[in-house]
Amino acid sequence: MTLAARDVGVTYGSRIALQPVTVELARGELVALVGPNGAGKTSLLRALAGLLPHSGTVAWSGDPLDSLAARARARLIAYLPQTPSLHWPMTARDLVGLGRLPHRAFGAAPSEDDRSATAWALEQTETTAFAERSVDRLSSGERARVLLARALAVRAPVLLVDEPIAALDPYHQLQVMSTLRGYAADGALVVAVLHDLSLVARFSTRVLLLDGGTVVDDDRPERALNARALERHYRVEPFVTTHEGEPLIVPWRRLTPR
Amino acid sequence: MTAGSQVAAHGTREARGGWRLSGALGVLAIAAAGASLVIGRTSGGPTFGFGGPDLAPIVLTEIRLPRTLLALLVGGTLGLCGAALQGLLRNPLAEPGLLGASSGAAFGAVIVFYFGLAGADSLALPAGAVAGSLVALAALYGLAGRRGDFLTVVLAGIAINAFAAALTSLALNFAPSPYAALEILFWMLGSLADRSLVHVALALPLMVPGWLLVIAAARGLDALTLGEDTAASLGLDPRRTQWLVIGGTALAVGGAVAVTGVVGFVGLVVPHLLRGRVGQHPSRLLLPSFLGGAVLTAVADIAIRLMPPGPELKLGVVTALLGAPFFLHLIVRARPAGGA
Repeated sequence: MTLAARDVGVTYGSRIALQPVTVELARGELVALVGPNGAGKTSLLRALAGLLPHSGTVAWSGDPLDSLAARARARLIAYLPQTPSLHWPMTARDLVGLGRLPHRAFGAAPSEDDRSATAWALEQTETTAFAERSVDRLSSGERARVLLARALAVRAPVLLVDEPIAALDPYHQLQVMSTLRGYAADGALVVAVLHDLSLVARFSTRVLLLDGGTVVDDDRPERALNARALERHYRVEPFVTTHEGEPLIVPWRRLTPR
Repeated sequence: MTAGSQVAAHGTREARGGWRLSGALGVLAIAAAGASLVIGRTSGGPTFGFGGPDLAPIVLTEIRLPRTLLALLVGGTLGLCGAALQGLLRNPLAEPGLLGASSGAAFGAVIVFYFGLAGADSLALPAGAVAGSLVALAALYGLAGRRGDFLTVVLAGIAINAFAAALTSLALNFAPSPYAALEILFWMLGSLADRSLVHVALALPLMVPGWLLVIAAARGLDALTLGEDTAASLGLDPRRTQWLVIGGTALAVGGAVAVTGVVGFVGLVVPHLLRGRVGQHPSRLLLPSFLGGAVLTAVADIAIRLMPPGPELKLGVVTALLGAPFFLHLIVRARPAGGA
Protein backbone atom coordinates (compact mmCIF):
# COMPACT_ATOMS: atom_id res chain seq x y z
CA MET A 1 0.00 0.00 0.00
CA THR A 2 1.41 3.36 -1.00
CA LEU A 3 0.70 7.05 -0.69
CA ALA A 4 1.05 8.31 -4.24
CA ALA A 5 1.31 12.01 -5.06
CA ARG A 6 0.84 12.86 -8.71
CA ASP A 7 1.73 16.35 -9.95
CA VAL A 8 1.12 17.79 -6.48
CA GLY A 9 1.96 21.50 -6.50
CA VAL A 10 1.18 24.36 -4.11
CA THR A 11 0.89 28.08 -4.82
CA TYR A 12 0.19 30.93 -2.40
CA GLY A 13 -1.33 33.59 -4.63
CA SER A 14 1.24 34.09 -7.37
CA ARG A 15 4.13 32.61 -5.36
CA ILE A 16 4.95 29.00 -6.13
CA ALA A 17 5.69 27.17 -2.87
CA LEU A 18 6.00 23.73 -4.42
CA GLN A 19 6.58 22.81 -8.06
CA PRO A 20 4.42 19.85 -9.14
CA VAL A 21 5.98 16.69 -7.76
CA THR A 22 5.18 13.05 -8.44
CA VAL A 23 6.33 10.60 -5.80
CA GLU A 24 5.23 7.26 -4.38
CA LEU A 25 5.83 6.53 -0.69
CA ALA A 26 5.35 3.04 0.72
CA ARG A 27 4.57 1.51 4.11
CA GLY A 28 7.68 0.62 6.08
CA GLU A 29 9.53 3.72 4.93
CA LEU A 30 10.71 6.56 7.15
CA VAL A 31 10.93 9.36 4.61
CA ALA A 32 12.81 12.51 5.63
CA LEU A 33 11.85 15.79 3.97
CA VAL A 34 15.00 17.92 4.12
CA GLY A 35 16.12 21.21 2.61
CA PRO A 36 16.77 24.82 3.56
CA ASN A 37 14.08 27.08 5.09
CA GLY A 38 11.40 27.95 2.57
CA ALA A 39 12.20 24.95 0.36
CA GLY A 40 8.57 23.75 0.39
CA LYS A 41 8.88 20.89 2.91
CA THR A 42 5.91 21.91 5.04
CA SER A 43 3.83 22.69 1.94
CA LEU A 44 4.45 19.17 0.61
CA LEU A 45 3.66 17.61 4.00
CA ARG A 46 0.42 19.56 4.41
CA ALA A 47 -0.61 18.80 0.84
CA LEU A 48 -0.06 15.08 1.54
CA ALA A 49 -2.19 15.46 4.67
CA GLY A 50 -4.97 17.04 2.61
CA LEU A 51 -4.81 20.24 4.64
CA LEU A 52 -3.68 22.55 1.85
CA PRO A 53 -5.34 23.32 -1.48
CA HIS A 54 -3.06 21.90 -4.15
CA SER A 55 -2.94 20.89 -7.79
CA GLY A 56 -2.67 17.23 -8.76
CA THR A 57 -3.91 14.29 -6.68
CA VAL A 58 -2.86 12.30 -3.64
CA ALA A 59 -4.05 8.70 -3.51
CA TRP A 60 -3.80 5.86 -0.98
CA SER A 61 -3.49 2.47 -2.73
CA GLY A 62 -5.20 3.91 -5.77
CA ASP A 63 -8.06 5.72 -4.00
CA PRO A 64 -7.85 9.51 -4.25
CA LEU A 65 -7.94 11.02 -0.74
CA ASP A 66 -10.69 13.40 -1.88
CA SER A 67 -12.96 10.39 -2.36
CA LEU A 68 -12.59 9.28 1.27
CA ALA A 69 -14.95 10.37 4.04
CA ALA A 70 -13.35 12.80 6.50
CA ARG A 71 -13.36 10.20 9.25
CA ALA A 72 -11.82 7.45 7.11
CA ARG A 73 -9.10 9.82 6.02
CA ALA A 74 -8.47 10.87 9.63
CA ARG A 75 -7.97 7.22 10.57
CA LEU A 76 -5.60 6.75 7.62
CA ILE A 77 -3.38 9.81 8.05
CA ALA A 78 -2.19 11.33 11.34
CA TYR A 79 -0.61 14.76 11.19
CA LEU A 80 1.52 16.73 13.65
CA PRO A 81 1.95 20.40 12.72
CA GLN A 82 5.20 22.26 13.28
CA THR A 83 3.76 24.63 15.88
CA PRO A 84 0.70 22.90 17.32
CA SER A 85 -1.77 24.94 19.35
CA LEU A 86 -2.86 23.95 22.82
CA HIS A 87 -5.85 25.95 23.90
CA TRP A 88 -7.11 24.29 27.09
CA PRO A 89 -4.77 22.98 29.78
CA MET A 90 -6.03 19.38 29.95
CA THR A 91 -3.96 16.56 31.38
CA ALA A 92 -1.39 15.00 29.05
CA ARG A 93 -3.40 11.77 28.97
CA ASP A 94 -6.64 13.55 27.98
CA LEU A 95 -4.77 15.46 25.29
CA VAL A 96 -3.23 12.30 23.83
CA GLY A 97 -6.71 10.75 23.96
CA LEU A 98 -7.92 13.37 21.44
CA GLY A 99 -5.96 11.35 18.88
CA ARG A 100 -8.68 8.70 19.25
CA LEU A 101 -11.49 11.02 18.08
CA PRO A 102 -11.58 9.50 14.57
CA HIS A 103 -12.09 6.06 16.14
CA ARG A 104 -14.93 7.02 18.45
CA ALA A 105 -18.60 7.41 17.63
CA PHE A 106 -20.42 10.56 18.74
CA GLY A 107 -21.02 10.46 22.49
CA ALA A 108 -19.26 7.09 22.97
CA ALA A 109 -16.99 6.56 25.96
CA PRO A 110 -13.36 5.62 25.22
CA SER A 111 -13.12 1.91 24.39
CA GLU A 112 -10.49 -0.50 25.66
CA ASP A 113 -8.67 0.03 22.32
CA ASP A 114 -8.71 3.80 22.82
CA ARG A 115 -7.28 3.52 26.30
CA SER A 116 -4.56 1.09 25.33
CA ALA A 117 -3.59 3.15 22.25
CA THR A 118 -3.30 6.24 24.47
CA ALA A 119 -1.20 4.37 27.04
CA TRP A 120 0.99 2.96 24.25
CA ALA A 121 1.55 6.43 22.74
CA LEU A 122 2.49 7.86 26.14
CA GLU A 123 4.95 5.03 26.64
CA GLN A 124 6.48 5.44 23.17
CA THR A 125 7.27 9.08 23.89
CA GLU A 126 8.33 8.43 27.53
CA THR A 127 5.63 10.77 28.80
CA THR A 128 3.72 8.30 31.00
CA ALA A 129 5.41 9.74 34.11
CA PHE A 130 3.57 13.04 33.75
CA ALA A 131 0.43 11.73 32.02
CA GLU A 132 -1.85 13.11 34.75
CA ARG A 133 -0.15 16.50 34.82
CA SER A 134 -1.77 19.48 33.12
CA VAL A 135 -0.02 20.33 29.84
CA ASP A 136 0.46 23.97 30.85
CA ARG A 137 2.79 22.73 33.60
CA LEU A 138 5.12 20.94 31.18
CA SER A 139 8.32 22.26 29.61
CA SER A 140 8.21 22.95 25.87
CA GLY A 141 10.19 19.76 25.16
CA GLU A 142 7.86 17.65 27.32
CA ARG A 143 4.87 19.26 25.63
CA ALA A 144 6.32 18.52 22.17
CA ARG A 145 6.56 14.84 23.11
CA VAL A 146 2.99 14.79 24.41
CA LEU A 147 1.82 16.30 21.12
CA LEU A 148 3.75 13.66 19.19
CA ALA A 149 2.06 11.05 21.39
CA ARG A 150 -1.29 12.55 20.36
CA ALA A 151 -0.41 11.93 16.69
CA LEU A 152 0.88 8.41 17.45
CA ALA A 153 -2.33 7.59 19.36
CA VAL A 154 -4.30 7.72 16.09
CA ARG A 155 -2.33 4.56 15.15
CA ALA A 156 -2.70 5.58 11.52
CA PRO A 157 -0.95 3.70 8.70
CA VAL A 158 0.43 7.08 7.58
CA LEU A 159 2.12 9.45 10.05
CA LEU A 160 3.12 12.92 8.83
CA VAL A 161 5.20 14.94 11.32
CA ASP A 162 6.65 18.43 10.92
CA GLU A 163 9.92 18.97 12.82
CA PRO A 164 9.07 16.59 15.67
CA ILE A 165 12.46 16.91 17.42
CA ALA A 166 13.18 20.64 17.10
CA ALA A 167 12.45 21.36 20.79
CA LEU A 168 13.99 18.20 22.25
CA ASP A 169 17.18 17.51 24.18
CA PRO A 170 19.73 15.09 22.61
CA TYR A 171 18.47 12.09 24.59
CA HIS A 172 14.90 12.59 23.44
CA GLN A 173 15.93 13.43 19.87
CA LEU A 174 17.45 9.95 19.65
CA GLN A 175 14.51 8.44 21.47
CA VAL A 176 11.88 10.01 19.19
CA MET A 177 13.83 9.12 16.05
CA SER A 178 14.03 5.48 17.08
CA THR A 179 10.29 5.56 17.94
CA LEU A 180 9.49 6.87 14.45
CA ARG A 181 11.80 4.28 12.92
CA GLY A 182 10.15 1.54 14.94
CA TYR A 183 6.65 2.74 13.96
CA ALA A 184 7.68 2.58 10.28
CA ALA A 185 9.28 -0.83 10.76
CA ASP A 186 5.96 -2.08 12.16
CA GLY A 187 4.38 -1.33 8.79
CA ALA A 188 3.50 2.37 8.74
CA LEU A 189 4.62 5.09 6.38
CA VAL A 190 6.29 7.89 8.33
CA VAL A 191 7.12 11.19 6.63
CA ALA A 192 9.06 13.70 8.75
CA VAL A 193 10.39 17.18 8.11
CA LEU A 194 13.83 17.19 9.75
CA HIS A 195 16.90 19.42 9.99
CA ASP A 196 19.44 17.29 11.87
CA LEU A 197 21.32 15.68 8.97
CA SER A 198 23.16 13.11 11.09
CA LEU A 199 19.88 11.84 12.54
CA VAL A 200 18.34 11.84 9.06
CA ALA A 201 21.27 9.81 7.75
CA ARG A 202 21.08 7.32 10.61
CA PHE A 203 17.37 6.82 11.03
CA SER A 204 15.58 7.54 7.75
CA THR A 205 15.23 5.03 4.94
CA ARG A 206 14.71 7.59 2.20
CA VAL A 207 15.38 11.29 1.70
CA LEU A 208 13.46 13.83 -0.35
CA LEU A 209 15.72 16.86 -0.72
CA LEU A 210 13.88 20.06 -1.54
CA ASP A 211 15.22 23.44 -2.61
CA GLY A 212 13.33 26.48 -3.88
CA GLY A 213 10.02 24.61 -4.13
CA THR A 214 11.45 21.71 -6.14
CA VAL A 215 12.23 18.15 -5.11
CA VAL A 216 15.85 18.03 -6.29
CA ASP A 217 16.70 14.54 -5.06
CA ASP A 218 14.89 11.39 -3.95
CA ASP A 219 17.34 8.75 -2.79
CA ARG A 220 18.73 6.70 0.07
CA PRO A 221 20.04 9.02 2.80
CA GLU A 222 23.75 8.28 2.45
CA ARG A 223 23.56 9.12 -1.24
CA ALA A 224 21.20 12.11 -1.08
CA LEU A 225 23.16 13.79 1.71
CA ASN A 226 26.49 13.94 -0.13
CA ALA A 227 28.86 16.87 0.37
CA ARG A 228 28.19 18.36 -3.06
CA ALA A 229 24.42 18.37 -2.58
CA LEU A 230 24.73 19.97 0.85
CA GLU A 231 27.05 22.67 -0.50
CA ARG A 232 24.78 23.37 -3.39
CA HIS A 233 21.41 23.39 -1.63
CA TYR A 234 22.17 24.27 2.00
CA ARG A 235 25.13 26.55 1.14
CA VAL A 236 27.22 24.95 3.85
CA GLU A 237 30.45 23.01 3.70
CA PRO A 238 29.84 19.85 5.75
CA PHE A 239 32.23 17.74 7.76
CA VAL A 240 31.32 14.18 6.81
CA THR A 241 32.68 11.08 8.50
CA THR A 242 31.47 7.80 9.91
CA HIS A 243 31.20 6.67 13.49
CA GLU A 244 30.54 3.01 14.37
CA GLY A 245 29.71 2.49 10.74
CA GLU A 246 27.04 5.20 10.67
CA PRO A 247 27.32 8.47 8.76
CA LEU A 248 28.03 11.62 10.75
CA ILE A 249 27.32 14.95 9.06
CA VAL A 250 28.23 18.23 10.74
CA PRO A 251 27.52 21.52 8.93
CA TRP A 252 30.88 23.26 9.35
CA ARG A 253 31.30 26.44 7.34
CA ARG A 254 28.91 28.79 5.54
CA LEU A 255 29.50 29.34 1.87
CA THR A 256 28.95 32.73 0.23
CA PRO A 257 25.23 33.52 -0.03
CA ARG A 258 23.60 33.11 -3.39
CA MET B 1 -2.57 -3.60 39.68
CA THR B 2 -1.35 -3.78 36.11
CA ALA B 3 -0.72 -0.71 33.95
CA GLY B 4 -3.75 -1.56 31.82
CA SER B 5 -6.22 -1.72 34.69
CA GLN B 6 -4.81 1.52 36.10
CA VAL B 7 -5.54 3.19 32.79
CA ALA B 8 -9.04 1.75 32.71
CA ALA B 9 -9.67 2.88 36.26
CA HIS B 10 -8.54 6.37 35.35
CA GLY B 11 -10.88 6.52 32.36
CA THR B 12 -13.94 5.40 34.27
CA ARG B 13 -13.13 7.72 37.18
CA GLU B 14 -13.07 10.67 34.77
CA ALA B 15 -16.37 9.68 33.19
CA ARG B 16 -17.97 9.09 36.61
CA GLY B 17 -16.79 12.54 37.79
CA GLY B 18 -18.45 14.22 34.79
CA TRP B 19 -21.75 12.43 35.30
CA ARG B 20 -21.69 13.00 39.05
CA LEU B 21 -21.29 16.74 38.43
CA SER B 22 -24.21 16.75 35.98
CA GLY B 23 -26.29 14.70 38.42
CA ALA B 24 -25.60 17.11 41.28
CA LEU B 25 -26.45 20.10 39.10
CA GLY B 26 -29.62 18.33 37.92
CA VAL B 27 -30.72 17.82 41.54
CA LEU B 28 -29.98 21.48 42.27
CA ALA B 29 -32.01 22.52 39.21
CA ILE B 30 -34.99 20.47 40.41
CA ALA B 31 -34.70 21.96 43.90
CA ALA B 32 -34.50 25.49 42.49
CA ALA B 33 -37.51 24.79 40.28
CA GLY B 34 -39.47 23.57 43.31
CA ALA B 35 -38.60 26.68 45.29
CA SER B 36 -39.43 28.87 42.31
CA LEU B 37 -42.91 27.31 42.15
CA VAL B 38 -43.78 28.08 45.79
CA ILE B 39 -42.22 31.56 46.10
CA GLY B 40 -44.06 34.49 44.62
CA ARG B 41 -44.04 38.23 44.86
CA THR B 42 -46.57 41.01 45.13
CA SER B 43 -46.00 44.74 45.50
CA GLY B 44 -45.84 44.05 49.24
CA GLY B 45 -42.79 41.80 48.93
CA PRO B 46 -42.27 38.04 48.74
CA THR B 47 -45.14 35.60 49.24
CA PHE B 48 -45.02 31.88 49.97
CA GLY B 49 -47.46 29.19 48.90
CA PHE B 50 -50.32 29.65 46.46
CA GLY B 51 -52.77 31.96 48.25
CA GLY B 52 -55.54 29.43 48.86
CA PRO B 53 -56.91 26.33 47.10
CA ASP B 54 -59.06 28.33 44.65
CA LEU B 55 -56.17 30.43 43.40
CA ALA B 56 -53.57 27.65 43.36
CA PRO B 57 -54.18 26.25 39.83
CA ILE B 58 -54.17 29.71 38.28
CA VAL B 59 -51.14 30.96 40.20
CA LEU B 60 -49.27 27.79 39.35
CA THR B 61 -50.00 27.47 35.64
CA GLU B 62 -50.40 31.14 34.71
CA ILE B 63 -47.61 32.72 36.75
CA ARG B 64 -45.13 30.45 38.52
CA LEU B 65 -44.79 27.59 36.02
CA PRO B 66 -44.02 29.76 32.95
CA ARG B 67 -41.58 31.81 34.98
CA THR B 68 -39.82 28.71 36.35
CA LEU B 69 -39.68 26.96 32.99
CA LEU B 70 -38.29 30.05 31.27
CA ALA B 71 -35.65 30.50 33.99
CA LEU B 72 -34.44 26.94 33.44
CA LEU B 73 -34.64 27.06 29.63
CA VAL B 74 -33.11 30.51 29.17
CA GLY B 75 -30.42 29.88 31.79
CA GLY B 76 -29.61 26.51 30.26
CA THR B 77 -29.41 28.04 26.80
CA LEU B 78 -27.04 30.76 27.97
CA GLY B 79 -24.82 28.31 29.87
CA LEU B 80 -24.67 25.82 26.98
CA CYS B 81 -24.05 28.45 24.30
CA GLY B 82 -21.46 30.21 26.46
CA ALA B 83 -19.55 26.94 26.91
CA ALA B 84 -19.74 26.18 23.17
CA LEU B 85 -18.63 29.68 22.12
CA GLN B 86 -15.72 29.56 24.57
CA GLY B 87 -14.70 26.25 23.04
CA LEU B 88 -15.13 27.47 19.47
CA LEU B 89 -13.16 30.67 19.94
CA ARG B 90 -10.81 28.95 22.41
CA ASN B 91 -11.24 31.90 24.67
CA PRO B 92 -12.55 31.75 28.25
CA LEU B 93 -13.97 35.27 27.92
CA ALA B 94 -16.40 34.46 25.12
CA GLU B 95 -20.10 34.76 25.91
CA PRO B 96 -23.23 35.30 23.80
CA GLY B 97 -23.71 38.75 25.37
CA LEU B 98 -20.12 39.89 24.89
CA LEU B 99 -20.06 38.71 21.29
CA GLY B 100 -23.06 40.74 20.22
CA ALA B 101 -25.47 37.80 19.81
CA SER B 102 -27.77 39.07 22.54
CA SER B 103 -27.61 42.73 21.54
CA GLY B 104 -28.12 41.76 17.90
CA ALA B 105 -31.16 39.74 18.92
CA ALA B 106 -32.40 42.64 21.04
CA PHE B 107 -32.08 45.01 18.11
CA GLY B 108 -33.93 42.58 15.84
CA ALA B 109 -36.72 42.43 18.40
CA VAL B 110 -36.75 46.21 18.86
CA ILE B 111 -37.25 46.63 15.13
CA VAL B 112 -40.29 44.40 15.41
CA PHE B 113 -41.58 46.45 18.36
CA TYR B 114 -40.84 49.65 16.50
CA PHE B 115 -42.94 48.79 13.52
CA GLY B 116 -45.70 47.67 15.86
CA LEU B 117 -45.60 44.08 14.66
CA ALA B 118 -45.09 42.50 18.07
CA GLY B 119 -48.78 42.39 18.90
CA ALA B 120 -50.09 41.65 15.43
CA ASP B 121 -48.08 38.49 14.86
CA SER B 122 -46.63 36.73 17.85
CA LEU B 123 -44.05 34.97 15.66
CA ALA B 124 -42.60 38.27 14.43
CA LEU B 125 -40.77 38.97 17.69
CA PRO B 126 -38.78 35.72 17.88
CA ALA B 127 -38.15 35.88 14.14
CA GLY B 128 -36.72 39.37 14.48
CA ALA B 129 -34.60 38.31 17.45
CA VAL B 130 -33.17 35.28 15.63
CA ALA B 131 -32.42 37.32 12.52
CA GLY B 132 -30.64 39.96 14.60
CA SER B 133 -28.66 37.33 16.50
CA LEU B 134 -27.62 35.59 13.26
CA VAL B 135 -26.49 38.83 11.63
CA ALA B 136 -24.44 39.79 14.69
CA LEU B 137 -22.71 36.40 14.92
CA ALA B 138 -22.06 36.26 11.18
CA ALA B 139 -20.47 39.71 11.41
CA LEU B 140 -18.31 38.54 14.31
CA TYR B 141 -17.25 35.46 12.40
CA GLY B 142 -16.45 37.56 9.36
CA LEU B 143 -14.41 40.02 11.40
CA ALA B 144 -12.54 37.69 13.73
CA GLY B 145 -13.87 34.18 14.01
CA ARG B 146 -11.46 32.33 11.76
CA ARG B 147 -8.25 33.03 13.64
CA GLY B 148 -10.15 33.35 16.88
CA ASP B 149 -7.39 35.04 18.82
CA PHE B 150 -8.22 36.66 22.12
CA LEU B 151 -7.96 40.35 21.27
CA THR B 152 -9.57 40.34 17.82
CA VAL B 153 -12.63 38.43 18.98
CA VAL B 154 -13.24 40.55 22.05
CA LEU B 155 -12.67 43.81 20.18
CA ALA B 156 -14.89 42.75 17.29
CA GLY B 157 -17.55 41.70 19.80
CA ILE B 158 -17.35 45.08 21.52
CA ALA B 159 -17.68 46.84 18.16
CA ILE B 160 -20.73 44.75 17.17
CA ASN B 161 -22.28 45.29 20.59
CA ALA B 162 -21.75 49.03 20.33
CA PHE B 163 -23.18 49.13 16.84
CA ALA B 164 -26.27 47.11 17.77
CA ALA B 165 -26.74 49.34 20.84
CA ALA B 166 -26.42 52.44 18.64
CA LEU B 167 -29.04 51.12 16.23
CA THR B 168 -31.30 50.31 19.16
CA SER B 169 -30.85 53.86 20.48
CA LEU B 170 -31.69 55.15 17.02
CA ALA B 171 -34.93 53.18 17.07
CA LEU B 172 -35.71 54.60 20.53
CA ASN B 173 -34.88 58.07 19.25
CA PHE B 174 -37.47 57.72 16.52
CA ALA B 175 -39.98 55.85 18.68
CA PRO B 176 -43.54 56.85 17.75
CA SER B 177 -44.47 57.64 21.37
CA PRO B 178 -42.80 57.90 24.79
CA TYR B 179 -44.89 54.93 25.83
CA ALA B 180 -43.44 52.78 23.00
CA ALA B 181 -39.92 53.85 23.96
CA LEU B 182 -40.51 52.85 27.58
CA GLU B 183 -41.97 49.51 26.53
CA ILE B 184 -38.88 48.75 24.45
CA LEU B 185 -36.53 49.88 27.20
CA PHE B 186 -38.19 47.76 29.89
CA TRP B 187 -38.30 44.73 27.67
CA MET B 188 -34.60 45.08 26.93
CA LEU B 189 -33.64 44.97 30.61
CA GLY B 190 -34.40 41.26 30.63
CA SER B 191 -37.03 39.75 32.87
CA LEU B 192 -38.96 36.56 33.50
CA ALA B 193 -41.92 38.27 35.17
CA ASP B 194 -45.38 38.27 33.59
CA ARG B 195 -44.61 35.58 31.03
CA SER B 196 -47.10 32.89 30.04
CA LEU B 197 -46.86 29.38 28.65
CA VAL B 198 -47.32 30.96 25.21
CA HIS B 199 -43.86 32.46 25.63
CA VAL B 200 -42.47 29.04 26.49
CA ALA B 201 -44.13 27.63 23.38
CA LEU B 202 -42.60 30.43 21.29
CA ALA B 203 -39.07 29.96 22.57
CA LEU B 204 -38.82 26.17 22.70
CA PRO B 205 -39.05 25.48 18.94
CA LEU B 206 -36.04 27.78 18.49
CA MET B 207 -34.08 26.64 21.52
CA VAL B 208 -34.28 22.89 21.00
CA PRO B 209 -32.84 22.86 17.44
CA GLY B 210 -30.27 25.40 18.61
CA TRP B 211 -29.18 23.11 21.46
CA LEU B 212 -28.98 20.13 19.12
CA LEU B 213 -26.79 22.02 16.64
CA VAL B 214 -24.46 23.10 19.44
CA ILE B 215 -24.28 19.58 20.90
CA ALA B 216 -23.55 18.17 17.43
CA ALA B 217 -20.37 20.28 17.49
CA ALA B 218 -19.09 18.61 20.70
CA ARG B 219 -16.38 16.44 19.11
CA GLY B 220 -15.32 19.28 16.84
CA LEU B 221 -14.87 21.52 19.89
CA ASP B 222 -12.60 18.93 21.53
CA ALA B 223 -10.54 18.67 18.34
CA LEU B 224 -10.20 22.46 18.11
CA THR B 225 -8.26 22.34 21.39
CA LEU B 226 -5.30 21.39 19.19
CA GLY B 227 -5.85 24.12 16.59
CA GLU B 228 -7.58 24.16 13.21
CA ASP B 229 -5.04 22.12 11.24
CA THR B 230 -5.00 19.28 13.73
CA ALA B 231 -8.79 19.38 14.06
CA ALA B 232 -9.10 19.02 10.29
CA SER B 233 -6.57 16.16 10.31
CA LEU B 234 -8.75 14.42 12.92
CA GLY B 235 -11.62 14.50 10.43
CA LEU B 236 -13.53 17.26 12.23
CA ASP B 237 -13.72 20.20 9.83
CA PRO B 238 -13.33 23.44 11.82
CA ARG B 239 -15.68 25.22 9.39
CA ARG B 240 -18.47 22.78 10.15
CA THR B 241 -17.86 23.14 13.89
CA GLN B 242 -17.92 26.92 13.58
CA TRP B 243 -21.21 27.03 11.72
CA LEU B 244 -22.87 24.50 14.01
CA VAL B 245 -21.98 26.57 17.08
CA ILE B 246 -22.73 29.95 15.53
CA GLY B 247 -26.00 28.80 13.94
CA GLY B 248 -27.08 26.94 17.08
CA THR B 249 -26.25 29.89 19.32
CA ALA B 250 -28.09 32.31 17.06
CA LEU B 251 -31.22 30.13 17.14
CA ALA B 252 -31.20 29.35 20.85
CA VAL B 253 -30.11 32.77 22.12
CA GLY B 254 -32.41 34.44 19.60
CA GLY B 255 -35.30 32.43 21.02
CA ALA B 256 -34.25 33.25 24.59
CA VAL B 257 -33.90 36.99 23.98
CA ALA B 258 -37.20 37.04 22.11
CA VAL B 259 -39.11 36.04 25.25
CA THR B 260 -37.00 37.44 28.10
CA GLY B 261 -34.93 40.31 26.73
CA VAL B 262 -31.19 40.44 27.39
CA VAL B 263 -29.85 38.41 30.32
CA GLY B 264 -26.10 38.83 30.37
CA PHE B 265 -23.08 37.08 31.92
CA VAL B 266 -24.72 33.73 32.74
CA GLY B 267 -22.99 32.27 29.68
CA LEU B 268 -19.65 33.66 30.82
CA VAL B 269 -19.72 32.77 34.49
CA VAL B 270 -21.16 29.25 34.45
CA PRO B 271 -18.72 27.52 32.03
CA HIS B 272 -15.89 29.28 33.78
CA LEU B 273 -16.83 27.94 37.20
CA LEU B 274 -17.26 24.39 35.88
CA ARG B 275 -14.37 24.04 33.42
CA GLY B 276 -11.82 22.85 35.98
CA ARG B 277 -14.21 20.15 37.20
CA VAL B 278 -14.44 18.46 33.79
CA GLY B 279 -10.69 18.41 33.10
CA GLN B 280 -10.93 21.36 30.67
CA HIS B 281 -12.70 19.21 28.04
CA PRO B 282 -14.89 21.46 25.87
CA SER B 283 -17.36 18.64 25.11
CA ARG B 284 -17.66 17.46 28.73
CA LEU B 285 -18.41 21.05 29.72
CA LEU B 286 -21.60 21.33 27.63
CA LEU B 287 -24.15 19.40 29.74
CA PRO B 288 -22.93 20.70 33.13
CA SER B 289 -22.97 24.27 31.75
CA PHE B 290 -26.56 23.82 30.57
CA LEU B 291 -27.63 22.58 34.01
CA GLY B 292 -25.48 25.13 35.84
CA GLY B 293 -26.93 27.98 33.78
CA ALA B 294 -30.44 26.76 34.57
CA VAL B 295 -29.64 26.64 38.32
CA LEU B 296 -27.97 30.05 38.41
CA THR B 297 -30.78 31.78 36.51
CA ALA B 298 -33.54 30.13 38.55
CA VAL B 299 -31.78 31.06 41.81
CA ALA B 300 -31.22 34.66 40.66
CA ASP B 301 -34.89 34.91 39.74
CA ILE B 302 -35.91 33.55 43.16
CA ALA B 303 -33.59 36.07 44.85
CA ILE B 304 -35.35 38.86 42.97
CA ARG B 305 -38.69 37.76 44.42
CA LEU B 306 -37.22 37.61 47.95
CA MET B 307 -36.11 41.27 47.87
CA PRO B 308 -37.80 43.64 50.33
CA PRO B 309 -40.94 45.47 49.14
CA GLY B 310 -40.43 47.92 46.28
CA PRO B 311 -40.27 47.79 42.51
CA GLU B 312 -39.25 44.34 41.27
CA LEU B 313 -35.65 44.18 40.00
CA LYS B 314 -35.16 43.03 36.40
CA LEU B 315 -33.27 39.76 36.02
CA GLY B 316 -30.93 41.25 33.39
CA VAL B 317 -30.01 44.02 35.82
CA VAL B 318 -29.17 41.51 38.56
CA THR B 319 -27.01 39.24 36.34
CA ALA B 320 -25.17 42.26 34.95
CA LEU B 321 -24.56 43.68 38.44
CA LEU B 322 -23.08 40.37 39.59
CA GLY B 323 -21.49 39.35 36.28
CA ALA B 324 -19.61 42.52 35.34
CA PRO B 325 -17.33 42.46 38.43
CA PHE B 326 -16.73 38.74 37.79
CA PHE B 327 -15.70 39.54 34.21
CA LEU B 328 -13.32 42.22 35.50
CA HIS B 329 -11.89 39.71 37.96
CA LEU B 330 -11.25 37.28 35.07
CA ILE B 331 -9.45 39.92 33.00
CA VAL B 332 -7.27 40.99 35.93
CA ARG B 333 -6.06 37.46 36.63
CA ALA B 334 -6.18 36.30 32.97
CA ARG B 335 -4.17 33.10 32.95
CA PRO B 336 -1.43 32.87 30.34
CA ALA B 337 -2.27 29.18 29.78
CA GLY B 338 -5.79 29.94 28.59
CA GLY B 339 -4.70 31.98 25.60
CA ALA B 340 -1.56 30.00 24.67
